[in-house]
Amino acid sequence: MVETLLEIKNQKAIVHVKGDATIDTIKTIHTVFVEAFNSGLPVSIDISDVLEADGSFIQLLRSLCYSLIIDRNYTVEFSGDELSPALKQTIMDTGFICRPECVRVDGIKCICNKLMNIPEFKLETME
Amino acid sequence: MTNQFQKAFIDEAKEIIESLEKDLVALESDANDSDLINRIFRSLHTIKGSGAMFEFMRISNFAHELETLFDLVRNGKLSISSEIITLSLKSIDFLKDLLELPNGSKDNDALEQQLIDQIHLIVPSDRNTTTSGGKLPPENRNGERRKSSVYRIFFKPQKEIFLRGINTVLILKNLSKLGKMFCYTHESEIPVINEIDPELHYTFWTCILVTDRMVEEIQDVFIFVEGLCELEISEIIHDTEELESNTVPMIGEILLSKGDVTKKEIDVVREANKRFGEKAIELGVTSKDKVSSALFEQAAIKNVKKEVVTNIAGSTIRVQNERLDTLTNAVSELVTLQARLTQYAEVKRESELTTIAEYLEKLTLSLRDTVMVIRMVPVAEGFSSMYRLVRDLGRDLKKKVNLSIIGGDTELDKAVIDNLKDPMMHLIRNCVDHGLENPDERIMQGKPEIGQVTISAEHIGSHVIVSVTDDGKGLDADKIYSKAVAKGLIQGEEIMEETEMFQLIFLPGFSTAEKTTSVSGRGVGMDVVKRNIESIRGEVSLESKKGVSTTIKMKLPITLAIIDGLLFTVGEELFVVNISAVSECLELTPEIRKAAGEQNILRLRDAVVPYVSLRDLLNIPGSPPEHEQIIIMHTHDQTMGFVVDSVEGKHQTVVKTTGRLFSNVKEVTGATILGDGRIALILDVNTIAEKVNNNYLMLVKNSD
Repeated sequence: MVETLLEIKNQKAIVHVKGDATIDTIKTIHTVFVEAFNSGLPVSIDISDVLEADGSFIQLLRSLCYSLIIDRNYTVEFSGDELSPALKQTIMDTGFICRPECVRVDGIKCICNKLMNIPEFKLETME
Repeated sequence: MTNQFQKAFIDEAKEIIESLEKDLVALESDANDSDLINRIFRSLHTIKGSGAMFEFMRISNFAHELETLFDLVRNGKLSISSEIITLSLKSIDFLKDLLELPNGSKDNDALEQQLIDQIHLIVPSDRNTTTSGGKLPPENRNGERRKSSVYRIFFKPQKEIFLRGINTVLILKNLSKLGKMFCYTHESEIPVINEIDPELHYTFWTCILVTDRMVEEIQDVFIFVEGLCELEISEIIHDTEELESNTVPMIGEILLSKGDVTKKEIDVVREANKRFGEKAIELGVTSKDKVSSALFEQAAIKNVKKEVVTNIAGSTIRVQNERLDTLTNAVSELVTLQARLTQYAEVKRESELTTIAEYLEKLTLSLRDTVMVIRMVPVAEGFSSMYRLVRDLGRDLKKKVNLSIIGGDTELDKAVIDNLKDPMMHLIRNCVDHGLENPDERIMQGKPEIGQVTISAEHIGSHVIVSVTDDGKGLDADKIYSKAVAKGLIQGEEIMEETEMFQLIFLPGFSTAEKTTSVSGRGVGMDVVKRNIESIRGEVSLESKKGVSTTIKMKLPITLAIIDGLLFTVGEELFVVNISAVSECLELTPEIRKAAGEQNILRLRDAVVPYVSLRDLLNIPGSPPEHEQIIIMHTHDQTMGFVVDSVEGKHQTVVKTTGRLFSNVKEVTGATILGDGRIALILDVNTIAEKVNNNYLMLVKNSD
């Protein structure tokens, strides 16, 4: 189960995702991400209430992030509280924190490193 | 003359041999344990290699003979038998002899040749590539160590994999469980948000896995996605030495090995005299993603190598005992100085000085604790020679024995362990010789044919309890009592509990063995054990159940460097005794003196306790104060009171040796320096009690 909400506030498109962000719910999440992107506003996402996630969700996050960078030269913002341990674990497990900067666009800090609150990049092993 | 490096080799080789002995004995019980076989081979290989490096060619060559034998075992060409184990243990004994006299006495040439001949009878002649005087063969590095390899795993799932219900994150997670893994995520194929089909899988990975597992085990992780992904597993570092070196592959080399660039393209890019990755992208030879992945691989390998090299270089260092003792002494001086400073600061009442003193105290105590930890050794390490002892005793006495060590990682000061080795040897001998029954007897009694000897160690407060238990016939209390009477050790009129009768075996000259054997039974064992344990401030007790088991328990101080002491004065002198021996302190009132009469005997509740004046006993000049104190202490086998001038209180004491000046004064075991700079002598209450008893016996004899 997932609950999504697109909120336009202070000239920002804020996406709230709550519940499970997995392959079973990914289409719903994709729809709201597309709406936020197409609003033409800066996009902020609140995913602190995501309880479970898989690779499809992290992949979708990267897609949104990349789209914003190449289209508008700015990246996605995050709002809300700290990520749930399960979501942090999935980001770790998918290996998306393997480098400090975006590999597709120069000079942009890796969004997953930012999400994980990693102040300084360090080569991490997967445990 | 041996130099410091050669000495270090000898020390290390002795340690290796100790663990070799243990492994050989274990191998006899489980001849197919490949880990043990590999460990034995590696140990012999290390002795051979290091021996040659430090110019101990005789040791190196002899180790090589044995190594050749275990190479055959390792490769499944030779099966382990009892004879091979016995020959190996004899060879190990010979290596031990060589280590004592590494540059060689020729006296044992015959034994060396005899052992080599025996090895050659087992090892086929084509494998005998050297004799004791020959050159070493080239190193056989194949399978020398089953250490880690580094694998590159390229994993690209098919796009539809999510729709088949497969969670690729779980696959990566399982892969990471095989070792240390660095994972590079390729995202170059993830489309923009308006074009992505969220149910398709666009991500793929290049993982760097450091593992000691076989490649088949890595393949097994991907068993459920077979045919649903692109999978390439390449071993990029397979040589232990390569892993231990600190060279890191160049980006061009990595790209070439992955097939991302050709040799020709590398040459073209190199000509540009620019950073390889940047230029390769610029020239369109490869993509940014591929360069980024190669950079990641380079960083991962660098990280792994750094760790391996650091582990090799920095895991342990060898320090001579004397240096450690010097450090302990220096720290104890520092503790003393710090205590003086604290006292001085208290007197001066200056806040700045007090702050400095408090900070110094914190640091000093932390330093003292650290030094004490450095001295600690796991008991399993200290007692590893017991495996060999049990094995040899079992064979000599035709008994089947198994030795287990429980709590082997419990740590004790090395000095305590060193002092414990002889008593342990006595105890193990007694267990196997007297305690355990013959296999036939055991079967008849419904016991397992194999007797069990267990050494266990556990921390209890500031002590470690080491117990030695056998599941043999137990002690016969009546037999012990009768024997003690027959030997004149007791009168025969005493009424004793069973546990008290057991204690009689600790009397000097006691033995219940019907006949003496080469192993034990000369009646010198248990009293020596007790004295040795007590000499390191330990206690021994015994429990036994007839027909079931016997346990000897030793309560030992964790360290000999510090004791919790009771500080007291006699005249101008200050003394410390181990507080664990003290049961209580009393004032020597006129009523007690009057009741004691001339016999110096104190009635303490239901017990009668003799007391003695330490002033008289130690010939300390001056008159006693009006109110003296009696410290009641438990000694070897009695409770005794010591009259002193005043009791100052508890004092944690850093023990310092007293040097040659006090070497003949057995009552003094060490000294300590107090915070105010005064020196207190540490007394051995057992020796003092013995002296009192001897004086009393002399008096009785003279009055007769």
